[in-house]
Amino acid sequence: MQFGDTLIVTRDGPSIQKINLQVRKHESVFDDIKAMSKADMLPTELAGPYIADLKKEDSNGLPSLTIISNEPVRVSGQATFSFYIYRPKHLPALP
Amino acid sequence: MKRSPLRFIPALLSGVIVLAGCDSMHVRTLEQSSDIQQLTDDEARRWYAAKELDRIWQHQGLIYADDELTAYLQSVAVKLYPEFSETVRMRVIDSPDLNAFALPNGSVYLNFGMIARMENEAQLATVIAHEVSHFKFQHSLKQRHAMETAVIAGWTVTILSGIPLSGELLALGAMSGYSQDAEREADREGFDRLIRLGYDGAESVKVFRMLQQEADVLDTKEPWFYSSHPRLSERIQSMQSLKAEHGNSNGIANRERFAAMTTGLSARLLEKYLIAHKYKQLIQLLEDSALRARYPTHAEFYLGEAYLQRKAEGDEEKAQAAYLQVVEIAPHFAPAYRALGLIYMQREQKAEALRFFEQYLQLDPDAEDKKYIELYRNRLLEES
Repeated sequence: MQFGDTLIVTRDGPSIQKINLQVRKHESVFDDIKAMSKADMLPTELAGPYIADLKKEDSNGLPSLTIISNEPVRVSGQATFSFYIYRPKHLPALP
Repeated sequence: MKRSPLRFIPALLSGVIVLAGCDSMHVRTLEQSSDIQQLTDDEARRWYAAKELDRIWQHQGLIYADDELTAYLQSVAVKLYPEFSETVRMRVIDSPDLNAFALPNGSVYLNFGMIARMENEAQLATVIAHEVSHFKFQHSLKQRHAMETAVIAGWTVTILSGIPLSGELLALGAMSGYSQDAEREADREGFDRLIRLGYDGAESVKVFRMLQQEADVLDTKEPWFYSSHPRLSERIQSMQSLKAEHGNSNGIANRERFAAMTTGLSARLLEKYLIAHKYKQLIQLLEDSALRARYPTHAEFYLGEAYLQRKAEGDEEKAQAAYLQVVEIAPHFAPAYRALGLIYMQREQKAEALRFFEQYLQLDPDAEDKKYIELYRNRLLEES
């Protein structure tokens, strides 16, 4: 299934399990922190700005996300990074 | 996943709807805590909504939980307004933005960033007195104000203030809801209370100057701190006039007590600014040697990070110089070594990069990014 720039791959249905694939342009990949990526960056070097981008989104008054783990890994022989985050569930606004 | 500011629209609209649903009515000025025993329907409705906001923000973890600091703020509020000792409740929001507001039930919120940027208790009392005045005069109820401007004001607050649920705040009149007359009334009343307690009136002017500087740094044409309030320049003039008329030249500021009660807020502010990429504020604070003196010795590290976030010409060199300065004056502050290692690694100066990475790992063996730095170190070792 494709939604905008995101391709969703699932075997049993998106509410059960899914992999989101996104292609982002170097110049707009980290819009929130106004940072860019470069073709010669190490995949692991992307972890810092990626998490900074997520944290900035949460830094404007909302509870910050918690990084549970963040480490470099290899996927199909390629160096990259893996992290688990916890984001508190926001309560709905008042009626 | 990206989240758009548009996510606030439902909350904002609900706020406007609540506003539209209120009938006009007589509004009284509160003279003491017991006045709340006989609330009108409209007062009771807003009181309940404000109480719900208190509960939700607490539940969401938006409150900066520091009992000692909160008790200190409460003591200042009670000193200023002893008649509301049972009603006014001070709370601190865990946000670095410069903001403060009062809810119709007497809850007064100050962002920790606002407190961290202050220098003394007289400045703190200025903001508290102003906000409690809004509660006393029930300005949120008096302002049935211009519905047609509500949406625009709400947007300004939503985007710039960083306060969530601004739709509800808008509905309660706690933000963007006060007229210029209400603000002037709160300024006068607050200033009067300060002077009666012997605080230095000149410090009140400094608070508004600080807000003006922030607006200048962010190039904000209309200051976001209460966007519909009188312009800050006008309020600075007004406060100067009040000081000239009634101010005491040798009033108390309580610098030492304030410093003791707000320990740790400065360091937290730098960290929060960094995470939020508020590099303009970091550069404004830390390039000024007088202001920098109020921050920890390793504050220069945050200046270096701010330069790297800004990415202007020559900023990498400035960042490097800042990191080297930290290594010199605060040799146990590990992040500066990591930052230098990354700079040298990018420049292919492998021996220097390796040296700084090793020092970083020695100083902070449990660093959050330890595995990344170990990866870089091992790669540099292999290449050398």
